[in-house]
Amino acid sequence: MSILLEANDISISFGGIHAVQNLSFQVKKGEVLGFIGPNGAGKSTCINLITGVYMPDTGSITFDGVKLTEKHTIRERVHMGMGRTFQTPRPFGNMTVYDNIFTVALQQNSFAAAHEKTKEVLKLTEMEHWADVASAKLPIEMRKWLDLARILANDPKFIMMDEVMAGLNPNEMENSFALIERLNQAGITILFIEHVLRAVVRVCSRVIVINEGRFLAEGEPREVLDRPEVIEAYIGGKRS
Amino acid sequence: MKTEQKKKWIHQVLPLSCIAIVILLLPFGIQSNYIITVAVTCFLFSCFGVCWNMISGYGGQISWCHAVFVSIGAYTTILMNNLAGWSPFIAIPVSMILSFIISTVIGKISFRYRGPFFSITTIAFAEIVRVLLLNFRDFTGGSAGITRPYIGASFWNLMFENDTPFYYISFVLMVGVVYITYRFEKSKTGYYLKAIKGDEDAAISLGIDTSRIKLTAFQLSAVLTAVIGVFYGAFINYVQPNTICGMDFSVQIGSVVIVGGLGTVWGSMIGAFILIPLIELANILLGAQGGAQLLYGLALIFVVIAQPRGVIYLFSKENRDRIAQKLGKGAKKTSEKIREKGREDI
Ligand SMILES: Nc1ncnc2c1ncn2[C@@H]1O[C@H](COP(=O)(O)OP(=O)(O)O)[C@@H](O)[C@H]1O
Ligand SMILES: [Mg+2]
Repeated sequence: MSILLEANDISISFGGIHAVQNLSFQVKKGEVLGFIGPNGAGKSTCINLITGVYMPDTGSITFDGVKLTEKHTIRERVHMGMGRTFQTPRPFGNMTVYDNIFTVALQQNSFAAAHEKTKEVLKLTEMEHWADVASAKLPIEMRKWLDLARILANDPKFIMMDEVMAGLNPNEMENSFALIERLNQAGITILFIEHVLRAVVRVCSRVIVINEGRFLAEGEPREVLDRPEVIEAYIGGKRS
Repeated sequence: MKTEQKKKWIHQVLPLSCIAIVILLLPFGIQSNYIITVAVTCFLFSCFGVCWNMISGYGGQISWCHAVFVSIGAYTTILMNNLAGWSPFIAIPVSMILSFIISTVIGKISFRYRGPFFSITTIAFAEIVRVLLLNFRDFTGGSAGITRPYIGASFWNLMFENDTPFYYISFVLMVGVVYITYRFEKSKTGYYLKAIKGDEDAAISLGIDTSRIKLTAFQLSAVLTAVIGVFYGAFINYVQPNTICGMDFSVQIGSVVIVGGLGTVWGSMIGAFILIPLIELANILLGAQGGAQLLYGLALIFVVIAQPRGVIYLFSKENRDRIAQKLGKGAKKTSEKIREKGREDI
């Protein structure tokens, strides 16, 4: 498998907080890579570094063979094929579910094609019966799906999901797993950020663990989660 | 599909045509030029409101410098007439270019930043322009203002014996800007702009060029406002910095939309036809010294408290459903009461 994204020795600090330190990892084309770590480990910050919200203090990120610089704005990276969800979903609350997706679809399509694209996305995410609902009135798990659906309207190569399972009940989680599998089968590479370990084992082919902004472990999910240093990071957080 | 078209006819086309016919015939039934003058003011403020709404209603970027764009149109018209005898129709392209340049400068500076930065920039800018107009006395007449003298009726000069021709002109202008807004709302830019109002960070994260979209909407809004300003100048024939370029004027434009309903095409018109006559009435009853300000201040507070979504909400389907539901419940309650009472009687 070829490499889609490579982070090479990236670091960023906010004031005195070293949110990410000398982190290197690779995402292979077509995989679902789990990215886990306790709260405050620097997972969301990594997404922000990859998407261009922040620039790393040191190190570099390469996406699809292109080394990303300050010239690659958030917007440009989106049009290179990146998509991300937010830890707290952010629908366009003044629009229906349909228009949320349609607006994004308009970027790469004519009006007629955007309508087709919207219907296609609604079908893929099984959100057809929510289409005319005001997005501000959606229940939380549907908001998370809407975040995903909107990204899909851009035909991304790579999606970063920031804790999409948090706050879902087992049934809703099961539906989300199925959706992620469908997306992956459609050829989309996924960086699956999660706090819930069970979820990672269920959908990821490989997992990376970070703690306090640093690389901790990497490997097959079940095996990695059994490693003492990973258990310790999660339970105690008193490594020293 | 067919029934949908029929519905559209009954709910939109038919009532709108009726209103249009009534509006077109109205001047024949009205002898008072004063009422026509107020009606023209209503139409023109509807136009200003519709233009302001483009950036501030749909985009959530509240502008307090639209008086500047009105002034550009009005001053250009009167100055060109007085200095060179040129027609307002020549002032139109000139003020379009001027307002385009100015809105581009303001937008480029302020749309890169988030939150209230744009609003504050517009306030500062409007004050600068007002002070400049006051100080370049030789050219602008300073605080005394300048008048466009009457030299005989002519359409080319937009000068008429009474205000009836303006009544029709401003009505056509209103239909024009409403049509443009309608098209704008349905354009790609319109969709992106609404997304920006919904959540700007999310819009950026999905690839929308938010600063460019906000700039485009602001430019369009400014240019259209200046065009209406040309007609406004030709209509009032007198410009003075503190009135036409003051904060009051910008606030009045904003108030019209907020009272009527932000982010809707019809809201601006409803707002204008409520506020403008109210202000006129206040001027008559309370005198021109601030009575009007007080009144529309109160109107604004009332709307914001009673119905923040504006008067237009009262006509929305959502509200009709809500009332129907309420009435339904109320009816049930009374029937239950009657039943209970009946039992008691037994
Ligand atoms: N913009 C910011 N300013 C200051 N500190 C930040 C900022 N973003 C993240 N941090 C800090 O960086 C650390 C990592 O945060 P985050 O990436 O959100 O963790 P995670 O998503 O793994 O829970 C935390 O200590 C957080 O407080
Ligand atoms: Mg996080």
